[in-house]
Amino acid sequence: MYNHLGFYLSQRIAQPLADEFGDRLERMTKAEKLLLINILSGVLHELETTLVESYTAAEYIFMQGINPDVVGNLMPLLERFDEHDSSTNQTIVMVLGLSLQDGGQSKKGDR
Amino acid sequence: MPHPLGYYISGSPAAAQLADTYGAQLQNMSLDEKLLAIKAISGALLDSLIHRDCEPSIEAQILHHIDDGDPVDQGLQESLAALDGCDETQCFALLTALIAYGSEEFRRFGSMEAVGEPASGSQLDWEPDFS
Repeated sequence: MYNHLGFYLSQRIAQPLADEFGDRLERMTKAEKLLLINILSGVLHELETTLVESYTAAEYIFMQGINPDVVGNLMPLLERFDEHDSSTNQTIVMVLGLSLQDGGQSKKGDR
Repeated sequence: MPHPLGYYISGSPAAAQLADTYGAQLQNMSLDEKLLAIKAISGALLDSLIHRDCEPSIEAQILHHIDDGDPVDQGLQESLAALDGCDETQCFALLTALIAYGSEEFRRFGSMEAVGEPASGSQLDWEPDFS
């Protein structure tokens, strides 16, 4: 069964996303994927429930009191996601979620 | 007509049971409720992975959200809090089903099983690189 994130992205509207992020996302640990899902869904929830027109991952991380050390090297990726519209980021959340099927077991050894 | 939430969960009787219990409510969520549920479940699963010294709790995630001044529907809060009785595998199954169910695009595409197999005669020539 294919579980390469780039595959899922390329199956949808997101070929440019697959080209840019597919390999990066594929190398992530289960914890990193969960962290991205948590932050992206949090940002999307803020955008859905408030009147703000933009809300960045950095703002969400600060407001939630998430330790920046935990986010670590995912921050540049999150900043790129900030440039996307909500629909694109929902696609990314969906792709990350699909990659966590069966408990997100990774062939490369997750934490 | 969309399939019930349990349609998207396969291979796990425990997860199917979970969908039977919570599916009706979860699949009728509004988008913001789904996003809140995804945030809470992923947050608790994250705690179980990286904060080994604390007890991961979906209810705690929701209470934290409420403490920040954002109201949560009482029924939704109770349903999500009840998920603390589920194990990690069940929560992963529910998280992925919830995310998948929330996508119109995914719904058109078919079940999770179908996602794993390229369609016959697929126009895509992209191949995954496992190197």
